[in-house]
Amino acid sequence: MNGTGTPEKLQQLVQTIRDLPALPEVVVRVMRMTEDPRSDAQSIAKVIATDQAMAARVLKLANSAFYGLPRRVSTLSEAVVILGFRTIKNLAIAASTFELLNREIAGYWLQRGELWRHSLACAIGAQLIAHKVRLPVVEEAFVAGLLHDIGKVAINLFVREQFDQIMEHALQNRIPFVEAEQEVLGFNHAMAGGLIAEKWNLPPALVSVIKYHHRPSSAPDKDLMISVVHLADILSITMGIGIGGDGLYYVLEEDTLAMLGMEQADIDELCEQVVDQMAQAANLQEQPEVALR
Amino acid sequence: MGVNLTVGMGEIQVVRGAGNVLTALGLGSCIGVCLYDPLTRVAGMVHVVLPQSQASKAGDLPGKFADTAIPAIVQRMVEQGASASRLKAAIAGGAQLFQFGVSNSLDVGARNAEAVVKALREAGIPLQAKDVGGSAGRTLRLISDNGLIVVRTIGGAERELAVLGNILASSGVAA
Repeated sequence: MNGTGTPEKLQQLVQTIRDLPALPEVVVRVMRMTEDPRSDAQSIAKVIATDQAMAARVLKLANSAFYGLPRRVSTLSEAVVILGFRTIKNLAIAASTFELLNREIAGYWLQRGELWRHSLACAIGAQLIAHKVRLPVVEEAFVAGLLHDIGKVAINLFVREQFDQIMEHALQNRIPFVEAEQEVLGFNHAMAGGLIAEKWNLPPALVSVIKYHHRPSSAPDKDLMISVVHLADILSITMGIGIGGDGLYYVLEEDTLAMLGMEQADIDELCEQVVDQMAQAANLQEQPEVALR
Repeated sequence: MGVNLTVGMGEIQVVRGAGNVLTALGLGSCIGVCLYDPLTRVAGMVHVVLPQSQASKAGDLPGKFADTAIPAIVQRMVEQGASASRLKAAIAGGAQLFQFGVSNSLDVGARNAEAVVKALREAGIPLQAKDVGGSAGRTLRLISDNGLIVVRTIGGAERELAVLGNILASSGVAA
């Protein structure tokens, strides 16, 4: 069955990805500035302010219960100072990918908002796991978790056409849904996500997480972050957060827990924390206009 | 006027009278527990996430855990006029990662199902029907008119699981 995905289909996928919106210029600049130690809060705020919708959404996110700020933040530069460069960078990325991730992804039977919920749960989970295993880049885990399934947006229409075949292929051959995608379509959502991340010029480590989030052991760089996001993804899938027609037809790579030094009791605790934080984050889905009030 | 309520993770919803619908969307390893009193038409649903509460954290959202969820929802339903002795139950969810040959380290779905069944037994509530396990996501609906329970497999068909208001229904499935 391998290779039934035709070259034309791959061509179509590349075209689909080309047609996806670019990461807004504002985000690209914010990403660059937040990495530069010479940047200051004022200038970063100024850049964000050039995109009104983005500015509103960043303020809205900053004021959500999720960040638990002691008082209301009303200006962007205040938000940058209080939350820090890294968090602001994440907020900008989250705000800019919201529209894409919030779409209905009919191929996977995901109603509007469901992929965003799943992505957010994975982001929260990844951040919690990264913290637990003392990864120095907890903030990066959030972004990686948020973007891990971005490829579903690109292969949505292909999956929609052949969902039944993919599922049947997975069941018959006892392989995970993502591998059945590969065998039926000739590509899968992780690979497509990697292509999008490359198109957006995201850091190579992030591209790698997205590309290998279902198979950390296949990644050339063996970055622990990939296992962190892999576990967070499988947990969110298991709990049914933003779950689609592909259901729980996935695997947790066998040595993931051992690699992260975690046990079943940690998993229960993590599930509980994800549920609590998702409840706090529930209002992130509201419209950005609210933030201006 | 009836209401149409979504029951989020760890939440308990209770309604009284005809014309109401309770829905749990996207059940994976979680269990949606439906309880119904045919006489007063008090209907309740809880979206259980984990089998057991830790003593230190009990109290915040009792619906999260099987062991605290059942007593909490029964109390809420009794407050709405239900009789605990008339309650009947149906459950759905408890899915697991597909078994692809390797050992499965995440068995929360099965543990949830076991814990919910145990909690219902301890509360003396007959379990009329269950649709648990497997690897598909589910959406669960409870219609308050007659305690009709409908389960939809995400990406698949919808089917009737039980009618809890059916007085002729037998006294429960073997649990």
